[in-house]
Order: sequence, then C-alpha cells, then structure tokens
Amino acid sequence: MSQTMKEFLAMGGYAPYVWSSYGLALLLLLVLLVASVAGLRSRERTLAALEAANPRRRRRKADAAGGDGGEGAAMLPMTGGRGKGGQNDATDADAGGGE
Amino acid sequence: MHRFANPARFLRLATIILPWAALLSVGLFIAGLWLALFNSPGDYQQGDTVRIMYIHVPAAWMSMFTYSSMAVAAACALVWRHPLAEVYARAAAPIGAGFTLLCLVTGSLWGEPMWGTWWVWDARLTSVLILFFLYLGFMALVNAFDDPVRANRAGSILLLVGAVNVPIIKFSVDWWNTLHQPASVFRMGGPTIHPDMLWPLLLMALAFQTYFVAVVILRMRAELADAKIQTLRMARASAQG
Repeated sequence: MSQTMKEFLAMGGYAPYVWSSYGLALLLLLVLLVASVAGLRSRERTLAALEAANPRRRRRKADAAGGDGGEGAAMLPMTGGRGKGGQNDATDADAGGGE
Repeated sequence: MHRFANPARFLRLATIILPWAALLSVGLFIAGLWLALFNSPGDYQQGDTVRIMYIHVPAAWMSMFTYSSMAVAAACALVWRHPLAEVYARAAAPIGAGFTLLCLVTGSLWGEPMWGTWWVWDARLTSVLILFFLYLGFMALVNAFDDPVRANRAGSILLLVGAVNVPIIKFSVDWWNTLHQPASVFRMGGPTIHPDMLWPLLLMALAFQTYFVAVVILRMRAELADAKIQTLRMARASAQG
C-alpha cells in the first residue's frame, strides 16, 4: 500500500471516527433504499395476485384505465366534435389539451 | 397543490421524477464524496474530523426539513383533506428518522475526539433527540389504529404539536449556552466557512435531498398500493360475507 493511501486511510489519526461516520451513513441509506424497494415490490405482487383473483374488479379497473388514458387523447376529438366548426378543430384541441 | 391530489396523476408525475432524482443523487454523492474525502482541507483546529461534518450537517438539515414538510402535510391533511398529504407523511417518517439517527450518531463520533464526550444534555443535542422520538412516536401512532382515518388524524395532530420543536432545534444554539457551535452556514451575513469546505457540504446536502425525493416516491407508491390492497380485501370480504 502506498504512503499516500495509508495517510488517507489514517485520517490524521481519527480514522475510527471518520470512517465509522461514513460507513454508518452508507449502511443506513442503503438499508432504507433496499427496504423501500422490497416493500414496494411485495405490495405490487400482493396487489397483482388480488386483482387476478378478482376478475370483475380487474375488468372494471381496465375500463377505468382506458378512460383515464383517454384524458389526453380521447378528449381531443371530443372537444373538436363539440367545437363550432371543422376549421376550428385544431385550436379547440390545443386549448383542450393545455387545460 | 390540489392538481396533484389525484393519486393517478401523482403516480404519473412520480414515474417521471423518480429516475432523474435517483440519477442526480448518485452523481451528487460521487462529486460530494470526492470533494469531502479527497479534495478539501482539514480544519486547522479539528484536523480530519471535520470531514464528519459532510455527513453530520446534511443529515441534520434533512432531519429538520423532513419533519417540517411532514408538519405542513399534516396541516394540509387536517384542513383541506388532501388525500396524498397523509400518504406523504407516512412515507417520509422512516427516512426522517433515519436522517435524525445518522445526525445523532455522527455527532457523537465527532464529539468524542473534539469535545471529549460522546454525549451532553445540552439544548441542541437534547432537542434533536426529542425530534428522533417524535418520528418514532408518529410511526408507532399511525400503526396503532385499525382504522386508517383515525390513525392518520392522530398522526397529523402529533406532527403539528411536535412542530414546535423545530424552531427550538434551530435557535437552541443562540438561546442557550450550548457546547454545540452556532450556525455557520445559514446565518445573517453569509456563511463563515471557507468555500473549499462549503462546496462539498452543499453537494452532500443536495445528494441527501435528491436521495430523499427518490426514496419518498418509492415509499409513497408502496403506501398507495397498500391502500388499494386494503380496499380490495375489504370488497372481497363484504362480497363473500
């Protein structure tokens, strides 16, 4: 090990204090992150299983998602259709999309 | 804020923000750690222990920021019944508790070589310890009720009452004669620390902040999924019963 590396690791004689601070920070941030990802994954699995076991609910959800996704795309023809004339379709659609 | 009251809209926005926050956090941690460990000077009095500051101070700032944001969320939940406010408070609490614990432990690790003691019951240290207990109390309280509505209401009230502790922490070093040093970054007349130390400190603080954003989004998504699971289970139970 080179001299500069040794000096760096020694932290001017305060190595235990400095490195345990950084080590603890790393550990804590990693544990929180891993626990949060694992928690999300397990809930999503449970949710998927529940929705698969209840197909009626799932169909309703799919309909809702379709209507929801249409908020942008499906709204445009609607606003256009409600518009005053064919030539105004584009501007109406823009106004509708921009809310 | 009520534009984002719709969970579906929030989830869409969160999906966009999450990868950016995660990427930014990794980049800021790399830059911040490089400056903090390799490319910043030791203190003329404290030597290399000053490097503990780059963990300790961002953790302390984040512990107060997280609690304050949870208290604001609690007010939004109680006054406007904002449906995502309680979800946010529940999701942020463990992260805030983690930051507070990190602040307390790194403070001890800094105090022992510099002050000659791991712990003193001075105003700053004690008020931060109370902040840690407030986080733990909130988490215990919202999990103590079977009814989520009552749980969230009780939790929000606790958060608002506990908010009085935040200014006490901030000004404890001015109001009382403490062993802890007074503020040297956010103070009247500008920071008193050298730019070579201020830069790594700010980068690390931003790294902690973006880490918080990424993890709180993950946790909020988990909380929302949890609520959906409860609803589905309830619907199934009532259909069978």
